Amino acid sequence: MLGDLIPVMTGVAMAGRYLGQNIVAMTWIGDGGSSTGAFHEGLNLAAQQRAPLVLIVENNQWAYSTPVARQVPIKNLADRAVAYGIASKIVDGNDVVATYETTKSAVEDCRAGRGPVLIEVKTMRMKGHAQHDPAEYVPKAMFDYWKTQDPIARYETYLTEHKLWDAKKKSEIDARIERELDADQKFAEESPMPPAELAEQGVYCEGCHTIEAEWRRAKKEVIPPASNEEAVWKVADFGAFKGPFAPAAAAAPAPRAAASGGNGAESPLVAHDEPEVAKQTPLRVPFGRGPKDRSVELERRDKVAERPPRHNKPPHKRRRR
Amino acid sequence: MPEITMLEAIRQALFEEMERDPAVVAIGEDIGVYGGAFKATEGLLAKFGHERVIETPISETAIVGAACGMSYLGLRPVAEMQFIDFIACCFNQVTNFVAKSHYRWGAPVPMVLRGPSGGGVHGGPFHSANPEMYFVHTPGLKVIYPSTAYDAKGLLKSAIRDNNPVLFFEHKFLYRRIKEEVPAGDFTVPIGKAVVRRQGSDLTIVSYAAMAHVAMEAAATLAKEGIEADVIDLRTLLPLDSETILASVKNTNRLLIVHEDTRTGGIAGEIAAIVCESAFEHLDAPIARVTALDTPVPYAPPLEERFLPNAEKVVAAARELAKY
Repeated sequence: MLGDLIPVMTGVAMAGRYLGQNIVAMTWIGDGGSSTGAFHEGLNLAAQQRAPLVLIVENNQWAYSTPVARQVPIKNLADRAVAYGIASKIVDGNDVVATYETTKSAVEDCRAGRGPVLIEVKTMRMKGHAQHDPAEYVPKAMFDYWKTQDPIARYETYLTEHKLWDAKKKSEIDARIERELDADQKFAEESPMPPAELAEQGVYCEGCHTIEAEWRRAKKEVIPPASNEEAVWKVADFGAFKGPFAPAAAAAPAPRAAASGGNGAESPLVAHDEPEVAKQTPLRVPFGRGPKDRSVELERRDKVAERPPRHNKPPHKRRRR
Repeated sequence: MPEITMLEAIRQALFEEMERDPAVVAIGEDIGVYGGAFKATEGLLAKFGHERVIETPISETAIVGAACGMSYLGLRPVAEMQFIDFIACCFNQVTNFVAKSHYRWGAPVPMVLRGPSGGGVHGGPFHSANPEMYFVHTPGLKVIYPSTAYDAKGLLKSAIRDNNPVLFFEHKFLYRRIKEEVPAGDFTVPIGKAVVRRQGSDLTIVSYAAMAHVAMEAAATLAKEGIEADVIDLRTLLPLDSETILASVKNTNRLLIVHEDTRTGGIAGEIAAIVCESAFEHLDAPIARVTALDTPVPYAPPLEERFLPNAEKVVAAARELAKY
């Protein structure tokens, strides 16, 4: 179900750190899935554990037929990060290079032990929710705008402008993609359906897998007596407050040097600038169907009230049509 | 051999498994400094540290999700529900993600989800539940519900070493009330094997967890009346040891099922179906069941007493069966 992978990948990130693997876990969610309980529980645990998790929120403006403006009352989904005390970034998701660079820096931050990063990727779902859905509820103007932002076309322009390829290279790549797609389609269509009796197999692991953790640190670090030390990701000012009952700074044990680099003591709340794309995208989109937003309704009513009355005759004297 | 409580047996199993295998970690609410609501994890933090005794926010979905993710990298997390009632908060994560992981993706989830369950302690409707049947109905999970300290220790060790997600129910009424001699060293009890606690030829009483003790108490009373009961303690509900049940019923020809779970959809119905399918011609009497009422667990003591099965109710039902 939507959001399930956020706590799961938090666990992967925690396990990777525990095993000394120096990995960063990445997972994806949409604007729609960002409202699930698992999203918030997972993000909070990742934040509390300072887990090396990069969460990409693909904001493609629509959750099935519901636009973002009718899902959440916030401007940027990245704003969620502030509440969890983690870093966030917003990027134009149709800019391949910007998305790559933003993600890379987020992964580097994670690897340095600075805790999870949420990246909101602003983009657009150019088709319906699935094959059956013609997406008539999406205003045409919105499609028209986003057609001008096609990420492939923009990336091709970038490559051309930076002289990173030429027409020959482009046609080679296009031909290769066509070939690969054709081959995959052929493979899928020619593969036989699985035998029916397979339905009864594989519910349980009965010796089909060997489960063994890949240790990249000395096991003795996590076996007593060495194990009873402070966690590496202790945050110095975590939960701190001013007042007579504030815990004495001296009482907090010094964090052990991180096994996977970084001391994890910083908790930088990266303020994000509003990117161009957010300014360009209309915040309130007109809805094709369904009830209108109340403010839209009130606006319309005000306009009606301003209009001079159409009928001068009292209602009982009007002729019925 | 020292006599220990079921709670101590569980604690020992956790300590010994964490000592044996650094891939075993504990995760849950208040399991560290405080040692858990029932002190099942007391001392774990001091010995194994924050990296292996992971204290989480109040966030059941996150606990189960993270445990699942950790198991994907080869760890064997033991997640605690502070009360098993709270497992409803992560029902989706358990039944949709964890249980289907191996079938859908070929990714085994070697994790244990344990927690205090059951009534009889005046815990009220939100701290007394027996939600085992939701999970017995979920292919991909294993469900254990022990009744003795020895079984609790041996089965928890088996659960931790199993390659599948195991739900381990710990009856909180039994935590400190039963004591027995448990070997200090390493031993396991196999998952999926019931045990015959008492032999008799007049009727079979099938039960588990706290009700296994009720069944034994009832069997002692019945013996004085000349009715000898075969008492089976299921220990594991999924997979169910139907062989032991069928063997006994074929011998006694009468079946009484006792469980603390509510009546409708309880495991008694499933066992009755199995016996009807495979041993119908051996039955001399209708299959009887003594269960909790189809209500939430009531709080007031007289109400909870009415709600729960007890030895008297079991004896009365057994006498009826013996008439056939």
